[in-house]
Amino acid sequence: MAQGSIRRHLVVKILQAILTLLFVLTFNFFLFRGLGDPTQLLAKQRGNMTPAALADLKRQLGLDLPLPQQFVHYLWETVRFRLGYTFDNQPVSTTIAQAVWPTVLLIGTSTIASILLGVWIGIAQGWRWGSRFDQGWLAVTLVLYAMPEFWFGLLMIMLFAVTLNIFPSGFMQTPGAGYTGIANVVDILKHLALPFFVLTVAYLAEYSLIMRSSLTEVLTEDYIQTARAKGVRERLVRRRHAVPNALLPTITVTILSLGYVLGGAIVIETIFSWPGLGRLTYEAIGNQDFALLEGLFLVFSVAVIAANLVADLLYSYLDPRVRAA
Amino acid sequence: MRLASRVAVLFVVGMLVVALSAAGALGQSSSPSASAASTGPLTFTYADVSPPSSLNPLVGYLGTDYTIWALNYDIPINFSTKDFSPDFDHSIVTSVDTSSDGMTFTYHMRSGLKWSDGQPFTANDVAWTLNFYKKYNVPNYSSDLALMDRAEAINDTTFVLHSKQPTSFYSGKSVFLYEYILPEHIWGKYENDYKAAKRVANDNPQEAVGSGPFIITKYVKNQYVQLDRNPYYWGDAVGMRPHVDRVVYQIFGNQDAEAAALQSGSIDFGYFTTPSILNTLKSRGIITQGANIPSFVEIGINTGSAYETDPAGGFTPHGDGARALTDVVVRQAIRRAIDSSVLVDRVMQGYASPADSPVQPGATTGDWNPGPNDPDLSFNIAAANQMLDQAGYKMGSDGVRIDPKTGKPLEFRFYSRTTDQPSIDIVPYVQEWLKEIGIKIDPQTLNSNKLGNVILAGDYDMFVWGWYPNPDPNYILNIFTCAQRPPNPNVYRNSDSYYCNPEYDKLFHEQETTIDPARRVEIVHQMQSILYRDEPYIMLWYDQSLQAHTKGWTGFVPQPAEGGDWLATYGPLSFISVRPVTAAANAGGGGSAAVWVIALALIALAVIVALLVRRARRSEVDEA
Repeated sequence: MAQGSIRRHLVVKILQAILTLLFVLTFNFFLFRGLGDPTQLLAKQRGNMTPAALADLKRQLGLDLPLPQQFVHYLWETVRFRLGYTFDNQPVSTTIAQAVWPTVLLIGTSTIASILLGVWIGIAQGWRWGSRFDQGWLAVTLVLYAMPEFWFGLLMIMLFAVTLNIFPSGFMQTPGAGYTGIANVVDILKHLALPFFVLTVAYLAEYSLIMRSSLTEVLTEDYIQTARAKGVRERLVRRRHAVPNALLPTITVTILSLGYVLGGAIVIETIFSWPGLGRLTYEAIGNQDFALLEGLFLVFSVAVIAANLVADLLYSYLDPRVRAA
Repeated sequence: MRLASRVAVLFVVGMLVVALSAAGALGQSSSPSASAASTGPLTFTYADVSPPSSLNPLVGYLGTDYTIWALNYDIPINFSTKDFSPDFDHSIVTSVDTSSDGMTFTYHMRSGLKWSDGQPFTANDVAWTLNFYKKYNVPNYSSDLALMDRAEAINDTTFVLHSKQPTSFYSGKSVFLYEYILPEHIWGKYENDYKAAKRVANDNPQEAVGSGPFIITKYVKNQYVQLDRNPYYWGDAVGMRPHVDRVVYQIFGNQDAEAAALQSGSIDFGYFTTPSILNTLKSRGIITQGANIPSFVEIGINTGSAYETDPAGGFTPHGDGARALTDVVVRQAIRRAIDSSVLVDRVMQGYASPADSPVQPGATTGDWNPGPNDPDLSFNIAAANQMLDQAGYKMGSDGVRIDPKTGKPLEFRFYSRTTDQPSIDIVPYVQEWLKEIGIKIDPQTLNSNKLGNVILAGDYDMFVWGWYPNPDPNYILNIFTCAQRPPNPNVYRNSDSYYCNPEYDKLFHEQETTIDPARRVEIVHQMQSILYRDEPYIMLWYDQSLQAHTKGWTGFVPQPAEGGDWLATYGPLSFISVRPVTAAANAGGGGSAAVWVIALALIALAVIVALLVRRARRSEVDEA
């Protein structure tokens, strides 16, 4: 493909991503404004605010301005990376930044572990399609795929935190223990174990099912027959001819899943009190914290849009047919 | 490079990114208070699922925040744990003198007080704080300081509070000043910048300098708040020395995990909202109770937003509430048709008590109960029907009564809140009871903000909501005054019933300006009677706070003494007094098995990655 064509392909993809982002921004703004005026809720909860104090509050939250004016203000501020202040008057950007690493640690490691395990199981299943091994794993993965994460998470808490008392029931570290160095690392790993296990098990089915069906399909291709007819050993047929081609759809799913890593796992982070973006979202919804929610949705959208872009570009790198199309 | 190799490289890069992220997370979470850990501070950990709304006393508004501020700061006079009366023995103020005109109040403080950073804590700090709160109309304190003109320090241990009109509020006969006193040397720089003052996170000992027994030393959002002993706490010298070194407030994402932590002993005390969880804990040997707290739940009624006018002006009729609900007979009949005790049993599973007045039992003005001079509004369907018959509300052929004034059926919108399960759970009961007296309700569920807007617009008939009043009833009584009705759909006021009664307003003003506290109690009780008679609120129940602690802890000081909250009281006394039953009770659990399991899992992961990379490399070699 010509150099100019590659550049055009890149520019088009990036422009598409920017347009999507703009749409998301607009949608976010109107979505949250449609939920009503949060000052009423504050008044009820505080139970001791004078009307004058409430009017002040409304003004400070910018809720006294007409909607179009609020929208322009929102766009302008977002462009300048000013995401505003949370209900407790802390910058949205730093609040989100603090929750990013715990999410990447938990969701990132478990996503990668589930990809590795899932793909591995999927290859083994697809290669021995229809065998007892395949049927057994198919049943297991389908059950895992259908299993509600919160239920499995609670079950694990009951088993490992209450009955066996091996792992803590939640959090990323022991509050107030003040560990440092190795003790701190061990403390975090101890807290990571249960949610990591639950997420890995919950996610791996998705990858193994895709890998299995993809490999099954590839195995019917003519070039596989040709390879076998040429007397290539089965191990090499699998490794060189079947798996690489079958991996392509899995890669797409994988990259897209990585986009969702930042979105966190709201349910699991909440069940395990994990201090990541998922938990932050849950709390922001509870407090009807518009500014924080808008910030979070922006981050999630950017992550997914970026992952889509990467998937698009990577796919054309891995599979030249896409570029040519 | 073949595809398999590319994929393997991508995985390795991904792992590296995650490893770096993990390093970031680990680095970020290392604690500055590690030195304390090595000496093993005696820690008391209590938990809930509610994160603080803010640790800044200018910003936060939840009960959770108040509990933490009560440890970090002092209010001028503490509420007695027995009955909410003034407790000078456990306060920074030791006495109050009131001028004969009831407008000047002189407060005498203890001497030698210090802030947690060692700086002297004087009357100047108190006067500065009160004036600062007043200047910026700080929401949490605006109601208490409404009558205050200004505060001034006379010397290091005396400050004077000047009132705009005669009142007993500031006389120290009851606790009215619920104001957390801030150190001027820390907050003084915000004197002219309220916006900046509100952005103080107050999550470290440098910002959170206070005078209370424990000072905030760390806050990890949505995880925990850590408070450590204040070395300069004035209470140490007067028999209020805390038994524990550290208090941790742990914030769970859900109650099941919190209950699990309580059972495994990783927390010592927990608050819950689900009765079934509390019952389970009880059955497993955890000590539990439903504690009495001031929070109440009511059915609010639109008593006439669209019809009443204000002779003095300032109120525009708005909304479309049903006219029949402006008739006190209809409201009383509804009261008689609703059995709060059944709702308490079935909906609240016994963790509440039936309510008659928005002023809670145990308020600073004492208990009030309907007496012989009050109308009988006890549950009685037949009596309710009779009342409506007598008032001319004839039963229609479809079983719904007709309003004789408008010819419209008695059919009312009934709003519950999406986030409040009990408000939804009571609907079938209320619907059935009201059907028996010929009233039809149209149940709808709204989120709190929407319901707030609907109330402001006056576009409602009935709704279920609640309040969490202060120990002093002034604020909650105020919401029923005419001036608190939203004057139009765009301006917020505190009334959500549009109740307006000049007789009630007159009494409200009188209780504000009466110098004699005993007389004030009489007036307040009279007002409670009026509210009971007029039913702008059909009071349902007083909530209970569901709480549990392990057997390892003792020394809780409930407030009020009878059935009160074990821990989160209006002052720090319970936290000061709480202590382990034995030293062993506070020992932390091990978990070396866990470490091995994790180590093995990580090794397994590393082996898989290594295998993939090796395979990829080998296939490259094969190709070459």
